[in-house]
Amino acid sequence: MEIADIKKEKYTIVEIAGRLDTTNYQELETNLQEKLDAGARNLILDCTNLEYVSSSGLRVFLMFLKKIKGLNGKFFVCSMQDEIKEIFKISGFTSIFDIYENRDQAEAAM
Amino acid sequence: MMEKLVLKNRVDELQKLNVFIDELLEKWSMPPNMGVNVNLALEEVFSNIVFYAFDDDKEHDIIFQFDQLKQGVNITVTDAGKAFDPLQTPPPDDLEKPAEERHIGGLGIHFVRSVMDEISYKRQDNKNVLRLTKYNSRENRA
Repeated sequence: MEIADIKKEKYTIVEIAGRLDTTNYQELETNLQEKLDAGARNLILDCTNLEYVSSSGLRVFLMFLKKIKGLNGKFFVCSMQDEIKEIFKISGFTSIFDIYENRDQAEAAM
Repeated sequence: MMEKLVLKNRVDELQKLNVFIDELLEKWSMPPNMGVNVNLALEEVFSNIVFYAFDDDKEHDIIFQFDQLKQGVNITVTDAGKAFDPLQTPPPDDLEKPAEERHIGGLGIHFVRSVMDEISYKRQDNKNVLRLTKYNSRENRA
């Protein structure tokens, strides 16, 4: 998995690429927590190149959705591949996350 | 056709499982979307065994047997850990609830059930034997 940030004035885009699973979910958890600790409140997770996510990875998504909502921030997810969309659907995540088809839409909603 | 993979109960063995699944399903000419489903289900089964099946610190084997079917694949996962029948785990009851009320966790077994077409469990010779079946497509189900 690779994580890259694009900092904007009012939010940060986090690009996640590759596989997010039991072996590396803690990397994402640490990465996002550091952003919150540094004062970030609005995040867009760009999943264009996310190829696979297991329940360990989804746990991190949910954890930060809750944390950021608690901080009155925004946590958007965009550009999911069909397989990832399907996993979100199975998890019942489609209704609780703000999901956008592409990055432009997510940025416009920020 | 039958192929076997034996892993140790360590998280870092997961990568071997991923590579094995991807190569095998390609060799057996299974549709690409099957790989995601099989990877997802087997990662959940594997990590459950790694985290919960054994109380000691010793290394144990987890055996994955893949059998090619006419229209799909059968996977039998065997471990000598504590008896655990995933089919007895109740499905999550909060899938429709708002984020604030959702539990973090509890999705693993739900994934296995959702992405596989058939699941059966038996306790045999002090081992957990979990059998998962995935068909090429639901229309082809035998």
